[in-house]
Amino acid sequence: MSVELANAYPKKSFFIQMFTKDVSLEDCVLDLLDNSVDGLIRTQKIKLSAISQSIFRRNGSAQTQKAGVPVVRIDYSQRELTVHDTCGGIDWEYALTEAFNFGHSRQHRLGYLGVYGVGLKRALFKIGRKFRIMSRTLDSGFTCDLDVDQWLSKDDRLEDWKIPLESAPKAESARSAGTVIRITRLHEEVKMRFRDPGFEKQLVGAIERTYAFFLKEYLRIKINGREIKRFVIPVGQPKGGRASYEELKEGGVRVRILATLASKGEAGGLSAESAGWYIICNGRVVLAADKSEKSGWNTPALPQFHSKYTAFIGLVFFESENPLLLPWTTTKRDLNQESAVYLHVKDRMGIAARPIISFCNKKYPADRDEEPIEREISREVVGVSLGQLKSARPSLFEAMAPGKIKRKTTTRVQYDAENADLDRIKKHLRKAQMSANKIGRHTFDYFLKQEGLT
Amino acid sequence: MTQPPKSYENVQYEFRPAKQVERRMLLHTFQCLMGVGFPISDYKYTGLGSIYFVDFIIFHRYLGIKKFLSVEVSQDIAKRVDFNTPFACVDVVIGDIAEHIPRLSPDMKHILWLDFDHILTEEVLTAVYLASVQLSPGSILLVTVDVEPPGRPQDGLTKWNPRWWKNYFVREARQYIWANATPKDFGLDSLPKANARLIEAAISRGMVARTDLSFYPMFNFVYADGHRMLSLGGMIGTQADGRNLRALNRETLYFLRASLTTAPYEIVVPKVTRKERLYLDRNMPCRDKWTPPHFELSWDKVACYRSIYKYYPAYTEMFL
Repeated sequence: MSVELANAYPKKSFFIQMFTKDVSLEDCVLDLLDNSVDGLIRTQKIKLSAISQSIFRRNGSAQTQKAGVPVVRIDYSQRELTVHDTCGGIDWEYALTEAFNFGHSRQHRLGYLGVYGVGLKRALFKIGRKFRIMSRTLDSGFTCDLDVDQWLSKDDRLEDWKIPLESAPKAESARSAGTVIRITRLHEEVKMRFRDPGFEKQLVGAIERTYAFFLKEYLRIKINGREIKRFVIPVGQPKGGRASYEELKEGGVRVRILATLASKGEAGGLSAESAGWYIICNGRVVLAADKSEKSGWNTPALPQFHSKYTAFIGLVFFESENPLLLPWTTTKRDLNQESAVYLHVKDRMGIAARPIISFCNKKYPADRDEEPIEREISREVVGVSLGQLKSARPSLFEAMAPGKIKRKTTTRVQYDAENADLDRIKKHLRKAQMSANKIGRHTFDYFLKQEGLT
Repeated sequence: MTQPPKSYENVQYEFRPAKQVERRMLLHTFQCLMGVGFPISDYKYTGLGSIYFVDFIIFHRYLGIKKFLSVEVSQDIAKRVDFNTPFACVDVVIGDIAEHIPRLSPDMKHILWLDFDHILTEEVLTAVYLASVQLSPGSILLVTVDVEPPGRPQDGLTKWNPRWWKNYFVREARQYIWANATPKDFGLDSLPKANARLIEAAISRGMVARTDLSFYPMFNFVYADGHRMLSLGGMIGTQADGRNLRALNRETLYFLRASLTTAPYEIVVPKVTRKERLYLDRNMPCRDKWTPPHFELSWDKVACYRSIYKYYPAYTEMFL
């Protein structure tokens, strides 16, 4: 019996169609942004696996713009999409051996936002049929021009998968080191999305949330010339109270769980839009203001989200040197809910949230006459930074320091009375201007006195 | 859905003989656990003390437990609960048990008795789930619920039937209900098992991510001092804890059960007079089929008595 080896090669056209099918255009733009952030990580030696330490140290908010922060400019039209960054660039060696692979090699350096090694390529192929990448670091540079249709047409052996690169001069200064990606011959569906005036809003919303912990501190992003503001998660703390906070290590992943009350926005109210759980993997926000079963709502861990929980804010930071261990999907915009790490943490999220859920429930008692103390406490929630909410030991949410909660001893009494009766009382008391409120008080006191109850 | 009235208003707690037998069986088990290496006296006991604190008193006196927490849901009796606190080492908090379970320290071992006096609700299952997530290894979780049907017979047959009862449980336990649940699963005789299945599911759900731990079932009691009650319990523990539990003498602790859903131990306390009881005690433990020659008491009742006489409380009236 002879043994022969059957062909089991990948086919370019199948591959490209398959791996661009389920990804949205927004996700592709975010993948291009991840490529810029990874440039920053390489050149500025940012340790993603400890980024929450930095977030908590600087109190979670960069209110003022740091000087000299690199800029990523994204511009799109019916002809092209360009991403222009000054984030340090991709070096020649990395481009030649790693950057264009479909999937990372085993020797791939860890510690980047890029996890699976597909994001950049998936975005390029999803958006257009021709692209040009020019990248320059302080040591080297390269240019890559690819006509996708031509590249697809030749697919006889593995060597045909290679992409031609041309070396280019290195950058003259750190400020000019970076990458320019220009995608042309856009796919028809991409042009249609670009024509939609709502697309830019969706994209901006996705970027400001996804990079909430990078913007201002590490980079600026402009879309069609418009600077993207940093989304600030409105964390608050009741006066004298504390947040739920827990740190744990699970399967090589460091986890920080924080749950608290939301602070009021500029308009003085709470926003249901920003309530819920925020899941952050290596600094990138994977889920924002989630109110679904993904983050434990409507499961044994938590009740179904309801408007009375608008004051709830929870954040979970997952960090690891090896991004494959983090519970995110290939788009990095969703959770891998089968992740053992996440399954464990989800239960802990429920524990952290439970006292806040009870607090919110108490704000709306069955007996509506009574104004619960929880409403008073809610009015005094102040906006704080993440650093202020962190505690050295695990803690659970307390609305006030134990022992300081004084329950109200009064109950509002309300009822309807006939106007004629009120007039008779006013006449009897010879107080024509007496308000209904005062009549109520007077008659109540009168009863107590007459019955000897005072 | 109508819940049975609060039991503390109905029953003088000390005089619920089957409940008291259950408490004493638990006490005996905890004493034996000390003998196989579990430092029960260092555990923290958390219960729903109501105004009687019977379990707190027993566990302090006979186990030497010094850390107690009683959670009372009703703000209306806050002062009464506080007034009746039996020892200085008993802390009382007013609030929902689900709010306080997350506060049970992971650095301490616990006995948590979710001793509810009403039928199963979503809140009960939430508390069971939270306890299964939170309790540290070596801790003991006990759950007691009323297993009478939801509603009242006087509501009429349209609401007093297994279909109606099934709908109640589907609504309250939607996270835990099994696939293809039928009204037959919720018939009068099946209700203890149905309740047990749901409580077991809540424990299992809470233990899903605790891959280094297991729940070791120990207690599966049914009894009735009036309403039929179900008490389930066991230990959340490591494999080493499991090995230590196997060292318990199952002949002495014949009421222990290795499953929460099959073959519960039924506590039946036969009604006998004081004089009859003294006579029975003199002949205990008796041989099989023995019956007292001086008065009529069937072997069935004698057998029930034989299985609980060591734990059966004695009541006397005192004129002060």
